[in-house]
Amino acid sequence: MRCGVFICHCGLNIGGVVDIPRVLEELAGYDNLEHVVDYKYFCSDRGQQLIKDAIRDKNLSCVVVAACSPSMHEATFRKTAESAGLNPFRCEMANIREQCTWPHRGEPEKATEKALEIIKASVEKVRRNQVLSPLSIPVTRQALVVGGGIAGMQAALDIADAGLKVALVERLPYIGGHMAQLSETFPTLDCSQCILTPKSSEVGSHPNIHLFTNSEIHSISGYVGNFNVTIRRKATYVNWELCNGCGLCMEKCPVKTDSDFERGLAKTKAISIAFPQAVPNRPVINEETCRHFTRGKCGVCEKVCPVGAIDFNQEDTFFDWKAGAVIVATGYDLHPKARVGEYGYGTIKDVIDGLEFERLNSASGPTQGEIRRPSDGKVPKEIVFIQCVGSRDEEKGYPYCSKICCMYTAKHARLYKHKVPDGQPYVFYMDIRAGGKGYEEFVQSAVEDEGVLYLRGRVSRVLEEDGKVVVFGVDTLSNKKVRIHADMVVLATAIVPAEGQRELARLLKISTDEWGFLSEAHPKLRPVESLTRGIYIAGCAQAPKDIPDSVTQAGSAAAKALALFSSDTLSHSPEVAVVDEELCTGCGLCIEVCAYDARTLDVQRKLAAVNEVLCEGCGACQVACPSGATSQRNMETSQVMSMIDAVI
Amino acid sequence: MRADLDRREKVCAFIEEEYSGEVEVLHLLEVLRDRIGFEALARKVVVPLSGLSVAAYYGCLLLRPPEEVGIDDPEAPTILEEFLSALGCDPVDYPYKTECCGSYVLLQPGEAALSPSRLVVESAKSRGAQVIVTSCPLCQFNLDYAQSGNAERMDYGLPVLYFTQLLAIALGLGEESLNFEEHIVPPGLLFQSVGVLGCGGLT
Repeated sequence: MRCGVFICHCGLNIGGVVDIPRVLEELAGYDNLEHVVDYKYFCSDRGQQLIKDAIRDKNLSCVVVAACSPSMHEATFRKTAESAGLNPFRCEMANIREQCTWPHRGEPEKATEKALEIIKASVEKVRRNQVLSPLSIPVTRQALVVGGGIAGMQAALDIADAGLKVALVERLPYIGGHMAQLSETFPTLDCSQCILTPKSSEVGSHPNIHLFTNSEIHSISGYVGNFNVTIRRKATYVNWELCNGCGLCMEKCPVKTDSDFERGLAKTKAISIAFPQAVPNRPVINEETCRHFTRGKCGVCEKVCPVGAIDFNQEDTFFDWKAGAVIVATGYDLHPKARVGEYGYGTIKDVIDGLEFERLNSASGPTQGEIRRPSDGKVPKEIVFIQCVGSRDEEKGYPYCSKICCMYTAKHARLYKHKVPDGQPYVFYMDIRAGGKGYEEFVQSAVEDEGVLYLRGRVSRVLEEDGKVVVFGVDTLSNKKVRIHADMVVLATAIVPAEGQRELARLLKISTDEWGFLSEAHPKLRPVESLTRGIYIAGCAQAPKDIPDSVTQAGSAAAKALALFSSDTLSHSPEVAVVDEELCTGCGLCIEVCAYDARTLDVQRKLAAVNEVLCEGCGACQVACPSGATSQRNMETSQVMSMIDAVI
Repeated sequence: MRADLDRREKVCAFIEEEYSGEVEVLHLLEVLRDRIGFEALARKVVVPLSGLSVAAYYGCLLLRPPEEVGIDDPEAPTILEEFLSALGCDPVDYPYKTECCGSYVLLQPGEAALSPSRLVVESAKSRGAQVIVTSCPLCQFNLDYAQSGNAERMDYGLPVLYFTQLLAIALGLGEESLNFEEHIVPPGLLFQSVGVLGCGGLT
């Protein structure tokens, strides 16, 4: 094997610590190396050209690039090697930056020794590397989107508009998510329904979108390009094919119950459509409140339905769907009421949260858009908004910022002033975070033009006294304690991941952070990919964000899925585990240690096997295998031994 | 003392005694609730205080810090009300029951010390309380002292009792055990008028 070594200075990152001339000198005498050379930046065009030229001129059969981490530039240099006619799997990185000069900056001599050892070990490895070619995986060119809020809708539309099929699965009976509950949107104050409903109806009628509402993911298996999904559509007890949406059933239903869509501020019936513009515009029976289910008698809806659509015997139905890519956009919930006792949230009727205030503002809400407080329907003349309730509060809530509250609170205060011009809104805040196009201007206008009184400080307590909601706070700018006898209080409660998101993440085998938000593959460079290939994330499922950010991220996730669908096959690294069937005893240890579900056992033949597509080449099974039957391509035990020999 | 060896060493060196935290520290209310039980307590009552409207005042001592003390929910406690119900009283709900009494700020002159106590007393009074019960001696003093009856400290005539005083009455202990003469707002008359005490301790 004719081996070449390329030592990168990485500017001063490596060159400023390691004694490069000494490394060159020592390697020159090392075991028949064909070519040893250094350069300031091998990742540059010129640097790559040097590698290509050396491969051709010296007829190299393997190369080591001693530079940064392989996760940084392995792909770069393997492509370089390939373009010079070398098999890319005969190019190895020796990581002398992250694993050498960065941690040993203060001890250059030892770092030089270590760099030499890392390079020599890599040389021994690459000399024993086989010629490999990438594995090819077939791709099912259709997608699955989980969550029918604005992010999920946008992702589904983008994929569908590109001509590919997509299944959109939404847990609730309607699509639109929380955006359907909003009145106006910041910073333009355009009506949320007006911009959402055209999109909803487009989703509902798009020939490429298979819409599953009132549905959940029952099971999912497979891997990138080849997910097998079972969707469970929960019984609605209404045959939607027959139903014509006349609404007679809802009119005649005798059971009144709190409306979840109106966040308990209005009643709905046991058979209901959440709101008039809902897509699909078909009713669902709530079996927890419906008299037929709770008491075993009633059936008024069944009697009045002119088309016989009511079906109390309807059962959950299951649909199979194949998907090449999955986009998770499961949205958010608000911080639970029970945990904000000091603000009377959940006990004082006139202490409400931001989404409840949206409903009070909404023209189609419980008060037809008039601001009236829940307890007695009076128009509040003094109203207090409290920001950061649960957010940025490690003691009682979460350390993170919920991102949208500064903006929607400013919006709420302004909308309130528009509707109650003689009223006084107060806002308690910690800082104002209004980064975004037109956002700071929007908040400033609330302060300067609309007379919203901003008080920088926290509220310690909210009490109910003589029909007023008394707010105890502090204004840290004037250093005064503040007591406001308000008529109503609106809490900007923290955004938390939607209920069930952790369970879904477990089902999909993707990770979450400690709060349950989905983890992205890289916070800056891969923000819409999960760590599992073929699964993408969008919207508040990943972190709190506003509508423009959710739509942007959804579009980006759709673009990633479309890129995956751009060819019928995908390539996968061949550096995965292989089994020597002669040696395998079928003990199954490899299955236990595999983190990727890539190992399977054929019980009858007593043989373990590898699903090469799922295998990430971590090597855990190779280590666990007691008989030496499992090895990893280009990381054979013999290679590892020779690497160790090179070091000691 | 049990878990922190460094601290234990320091404390033992100071008190010049060996002690490793084996004593379990309980509040008397906890004993009544968890060891004796409020139902059992109710059966022991010989002088039922039925019809007496009592405002339970928690302050901070009983409940905080919640992760250390953990006797009850720090924001919405009920243990004192349950205790009062066991004695036959009618607990009065009012919003200031967990607010601060002013604590040692009382030692400073001026409005700062008075206003917290006054808010509590006013609120309890406006909800029809005849007496306030506390579980902290300093709260008891502050709420009582706030009603001294001079220009700054308006007398609301609302006696402030430590919870054991009420317990003593309900269990039929003699008036000599109550030390009512130490109070600023005299409780004796009230208890006479509701017919649970023979004569006022100090009126």
